[in-house]
Amino acid sequence: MKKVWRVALYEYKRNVFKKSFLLTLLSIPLMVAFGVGSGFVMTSLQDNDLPVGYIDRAQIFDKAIPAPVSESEEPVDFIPFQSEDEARAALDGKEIQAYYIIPADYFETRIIEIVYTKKPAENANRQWWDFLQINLLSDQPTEIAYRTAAGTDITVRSQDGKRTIADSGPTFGNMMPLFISLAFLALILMSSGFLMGAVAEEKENRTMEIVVTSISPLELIAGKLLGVVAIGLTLLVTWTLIVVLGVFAARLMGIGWFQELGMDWGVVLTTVAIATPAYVLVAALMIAIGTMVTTTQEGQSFSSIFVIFHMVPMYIAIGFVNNPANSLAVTLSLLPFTSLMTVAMRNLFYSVPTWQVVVSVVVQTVSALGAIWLASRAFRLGMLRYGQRLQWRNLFQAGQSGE
Amino acid sequence: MKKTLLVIRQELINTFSRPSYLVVAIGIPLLSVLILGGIKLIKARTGDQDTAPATPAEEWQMEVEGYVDQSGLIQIIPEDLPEGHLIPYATETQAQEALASGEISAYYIIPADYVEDGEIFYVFPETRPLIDDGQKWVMRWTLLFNLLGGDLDAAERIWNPAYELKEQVISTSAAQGDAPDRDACSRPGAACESNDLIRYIPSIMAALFFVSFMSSSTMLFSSIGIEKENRTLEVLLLSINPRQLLAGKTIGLATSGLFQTTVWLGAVFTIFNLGGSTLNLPENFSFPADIVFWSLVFFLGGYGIYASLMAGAGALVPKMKDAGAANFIAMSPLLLGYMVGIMAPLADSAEAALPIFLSFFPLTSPIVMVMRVTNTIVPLWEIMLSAVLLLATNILINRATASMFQAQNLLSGQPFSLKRYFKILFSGS
Repeated sequence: MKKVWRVALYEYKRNVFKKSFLLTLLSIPLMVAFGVGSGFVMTSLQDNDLPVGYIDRAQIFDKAIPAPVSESEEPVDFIPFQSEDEARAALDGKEIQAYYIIPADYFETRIIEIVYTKKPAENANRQWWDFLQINLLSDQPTEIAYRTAAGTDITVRSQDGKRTIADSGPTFGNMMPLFISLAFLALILMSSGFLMGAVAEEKENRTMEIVVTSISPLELIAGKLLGVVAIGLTLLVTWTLIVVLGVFAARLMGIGWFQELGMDWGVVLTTVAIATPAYVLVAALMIAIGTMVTTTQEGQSFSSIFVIFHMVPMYIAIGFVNNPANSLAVTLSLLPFTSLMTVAMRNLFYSVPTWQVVVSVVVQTVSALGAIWLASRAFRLGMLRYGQRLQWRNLFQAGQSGE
Repeated sequence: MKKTLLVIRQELINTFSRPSYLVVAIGIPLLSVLILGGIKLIKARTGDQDTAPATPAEEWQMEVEGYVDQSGLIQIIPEDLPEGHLIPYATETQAQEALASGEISAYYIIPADYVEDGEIFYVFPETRPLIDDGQKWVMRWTLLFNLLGGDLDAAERIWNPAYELKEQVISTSAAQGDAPDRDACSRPGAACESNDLIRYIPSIMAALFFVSFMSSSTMLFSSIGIEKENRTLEVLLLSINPRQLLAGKTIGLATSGLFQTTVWLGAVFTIFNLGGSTLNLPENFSFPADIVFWSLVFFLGGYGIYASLMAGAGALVPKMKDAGAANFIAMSPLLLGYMVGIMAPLADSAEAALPIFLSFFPLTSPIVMVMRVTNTIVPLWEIMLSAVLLLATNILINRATASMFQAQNLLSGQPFSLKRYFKILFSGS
C-alpha cells in the first residue's frame, strides 16, 4: 500500500506543480466567466433606457400613474407631447427612442400608432404596455390595478413539491445538475492528457523497465489512477470554489438569476453519485488505452470519443423531452456513458425515480471496477511491448487463457 | 513548387486517413442527420405529425384542470371558457386525489397573499415534464377577469390593449441597414422573426468558423510538432526548405478545414429542414452570393492568421506535451471573437459597439464580420476595410512566422517561452 501512495503522490506532484497546470486549472472558469460576462454585456446592450414619448388624444394618461417596474431593471420615462411635431422633433433630436400616438377613438377601435427610427428596445416596449395597462385601470383600487398590470407569475411544481420551475425559466439551482455533469465532462477532457500519459510516458522513455522491478503492475496502476483522480478532484474543488465566489458576487451585485438559488440537494447528490463512478470508468479506460498504444499522441484522440459518447443524450434529447418517462429515457439513464447527461437533463424538468438512480449508480460502479481490472490487465500485457500495439482482442484472449 | 504540391498531397492523405478527422468532419454531421431523419421517419409512420387541424374545433381541446383558491378571489369562471373545465377544490389534498385519479390533468394553487405577491403554483403529475407550458393562460385570464369584478370588457381591454399597432418607420441613415420586413425571411439574419433557423444562422456561422479554425490550426500545429518530436523534420529539411514546407502544410490543411466547414454547413441545413415546421426554410429563402463570397474571403484570411500563429508556436515547441500554453496563447483572440459572434445575434446586439469594433479587429474579424454579414446588410466599405486590415495582418504575421520557420528554431530543443515567441513574432528574428 505504501508503494501505491508513493506512486500516487509522485503522479500528483509531477502534474500539479507545473506552471502549465495553472492554465488547466483556470481555463474552464475563465471560459465560463467570459461566456457569462459576454452574455450579460450583450443583454444589457439590448436595453435602452432613453425615454419614450406619447401623444394621448384619448385622455388615458390625464393623471399618469407610473408603470410597475421589476427591481432588476431601470424604469424608462414616458414623456407626454401635445403635438406630433413636438414628438417628432424630440425623436429627431434623439431625446426619445420612439413615440406612441393614441387616437381619440382608441376605446372604439383600439388602434395605436408607433413612430420610430429604430425599433424601441425590449425593456421600453414591455414597460410601455404596463404603463398603458395601469393607466387604463385608473378607476380601480391601487393594489388591484397594480396586480392586474404587473400580471401573474406561474411557478410550475411537481406533485411531490420537490421540483419547481419559475415563470422566468429554470433558476441557477434548477440547472445545477446539468452544470455538474458538464464540469465532469470538462474534467474528462482536461485530465485526458494526464490519464493517457500516466503510463505511456514511462513506456516512451523506457523508465518502465526499471519501475516494474520494484512494484507490481496492479500497485502501479492503482497508484497512477489514485494520483490522476486526486488531480481531477483538485480541479473540481477549485472550480467549485470559483463558482461559489462567482455566485456570491453575483448575488451581491443583485443579478436576478442568482437571487433565488432553490437548490435541490438530493438532485445534486444524485448527479455526483453517478458522475463519480462514471469518471473513474472513463479514467480507467483511458489508462488502459494509454498502456495499449505506443505513443502518448496516439491515445489523445480517444478522449474526445469518450466525451462524444457522453454527449449522445444531448443529441437525441428530442426523443424524451416531451415524455421523460419513456423507454428511451430510462434506457439511456441506466447505460454507462449516457447515464450522467440523461439523468441530469431529465432532472431539470422531471423527478427521476429513485430506483433508476440506484440502478444507474450500480451499473456505473460495476463498469468502473471492470475497467480498472481491464486497465491493470492491459498494463501487465503491454508494459514491455515497444513499437507493437496491444489489440483489444489480445486482452480478452489472454484473459480466457488465464495468462 | 513541385515540392510544395507534394507536401499538400501528403497532408491531405494524412488528414483524410485519420479516423479522428473523419469522425469530426463526416461522422458527427452524418450521425446527427441520420438520428433526426430516423426520428422524423418514426413520427411519420406513427402519424405523429405537425399537421394543421381540419377544423377550428380540432385546433385546441381544453384540458380539465382544478384549482385551490386560498385567496377567495375567484368568484366567477369567465363565460368564454367551456363549462366544467376548471373545477374548484376546497383543499390541496382533494385536488391531489383528483389528479391521482385522472379527473384533472393539473391543478393551480392560488395562495392567500396572491394580490400582494402575484405568484401562483401550477401542479403537474409526476409523469409530466415541468417545462410544459400547459394552459397557463386559462388561469391568467380567470384571475384577471375576477380581479376586475367580472367586467368582461375591462378584462378584455387589459388582456389585449391594442387590436392593431401601426408602425411608422422614419428613414434615417441609422435605419438604412434594416432589411424591409417583407423580404426579411428571404435571407439569413435577425430581421426574420418567424423562422428560428434563419434568425440563428449568424450564430451558427460563427460557431462553424470557430470550430473549423480551431481544428485546422490545431492539426497544423500537431503536424509540425509530431514531425519535430519524432525527428522526421530533420530528414525533411534536407530536401525541402522550411517555407515550402510551411506553405504546403498550410494549404493542405486549409483545404481539409474548408471541406469540414462545408460538410457541417450542409448538415446544419439538412438538420433544420428535418427539424419541424417552425425550422423549415421558406420557399423564397436563399443564401445570397455575397455572403458566400465574403465568408470564403474571411475564412481564408482567418485561417491564414491562425494557421500561421499556430505553425509558429509549433515550430518553437520542442515537445507536444508542452503545447498547452502555446496553443492557448495563439488561439485566445479567436475565443473572444467566438463568444461575441455567438452571443451577439442571440442577444439581438449584433450591431452594438463591441461586435462592430471586433468585426474590424483582424484577429476577431474572421468570425465577427462573417456573423455581421450574415445577420444584416453591412455597408460595403465596412466589409472592404475589414478585409483589407485582415489581409495586411496576414502578410505581417505570415512574414513573422516564416522567420520562425527556420532550421535553427525547428531543430532547436529549447523550451517554449512566451518571451521568445513574441520576440520572434514582432521582431522577425
